[in-house]
Amino acid sequence: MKRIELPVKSLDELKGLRAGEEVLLNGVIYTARDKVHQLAESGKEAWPFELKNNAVYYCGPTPSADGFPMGSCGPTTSSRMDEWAAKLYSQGLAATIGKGPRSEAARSAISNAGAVYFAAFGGCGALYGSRVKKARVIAFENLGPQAVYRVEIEDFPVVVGIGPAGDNIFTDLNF
Amino acid sequence: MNEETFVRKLSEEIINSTRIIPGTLKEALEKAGGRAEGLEKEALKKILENCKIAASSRIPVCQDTGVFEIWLNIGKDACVKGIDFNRAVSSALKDAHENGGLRKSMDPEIAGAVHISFRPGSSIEAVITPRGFGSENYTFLRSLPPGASDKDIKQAVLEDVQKAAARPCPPYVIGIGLGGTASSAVELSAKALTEINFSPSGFEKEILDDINLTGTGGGGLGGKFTAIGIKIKRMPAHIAGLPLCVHVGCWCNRIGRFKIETD
Repeated sequence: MKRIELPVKSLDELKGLRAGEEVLLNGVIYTARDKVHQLAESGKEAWPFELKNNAVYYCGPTPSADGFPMGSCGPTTSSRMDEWAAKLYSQGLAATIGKGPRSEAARSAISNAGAVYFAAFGGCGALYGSRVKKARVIAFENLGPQAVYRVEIEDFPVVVGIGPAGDNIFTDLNF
Repeated sequence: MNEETFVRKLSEEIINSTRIIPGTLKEALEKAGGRAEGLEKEALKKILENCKIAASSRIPVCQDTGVFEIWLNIGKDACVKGIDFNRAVSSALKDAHENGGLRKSMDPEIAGAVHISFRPGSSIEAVITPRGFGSENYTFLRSLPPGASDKDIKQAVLEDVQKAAARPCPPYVIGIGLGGTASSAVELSAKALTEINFSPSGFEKEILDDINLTGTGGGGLGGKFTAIGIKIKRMPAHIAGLPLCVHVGCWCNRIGRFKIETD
């Protein structure tokens, strides 16, 4: 199975990924969900990390516990973040990670950028929690589970939902 | 029975409900996993591995530990003098969020709904459902004409499942409430989630089989196990309409239960 190190050095590293392909993600990712997108994209706050070459994980974890640095931390529904996706991808974002289908606008932005959308396995928070090596809040701590976490991950299992060529596993399912 | 004992028991079961899925659900997931292929098989494998990790640690199965809907059935002869049940639910929720590793998705002392009813006997029974919003967002209420046929009902349920479009973590469990008023249909469908039938027959099986022809699949990446269980709860309807509520529940259909004798 292909392993991808995040952040990528260049989006070229994503070339050749095909919708439906299983991959393992490694390295560093950042969480952001509804509220952070609203704040950062309304111009009220700046993105607290570099978007270029990085990956955003749509996730709001439970508190750390029992040796799990980020508790239970599965993906949330990606389509709620669709309205901001095109702008983020246009700034060089390499990937988003979440669950479920994306809008056509998001798909075409991913394809234009040569970036990718990874579909994570929904409801599998404990499994993803077991693949987190380190996690710390870097911004918006006041938002609790919606804070931005910098997360070091090891072999995060995901499926390519939308590939750099714009191929979309969910289109095949008529969504 | 005093309030403190009740709060302690309720808090404990609230925490357990977020970590350990019901045995019947686990069996149904295992059965589907054994028969699935390709990405669907992989998704079901991940789901079962996930449940194992949660059950053997203090980590919730899903990070969305939900908004809690709780049913309390109180025996009319139960010794519960002095217990304020609404206050007890708040205290238990607060304790569970503080000590049980639950996510504070909203004010942790507030339950989404508490239904208190009185039954014969002297026991207190609680049914607890943590409801994640990835699936709760896909709850559909409508009113069908009073003469709606089974075919019309099935058509409506299929439309709702299609609208959910893999967003609420399939394989789903489908809770259906039919009849009464709009609010009773919603409550019936929420209650149906606690009585899911994993080997349905008759009309329930017919709906489940049709849902599984949609191709969404367990994991939402294609397959034949879009849903693994279903329950229809009915009550009589007015001569002018038939309220229908459909809960497209996620696979992670968590339920906590306990019964205490107060004698």
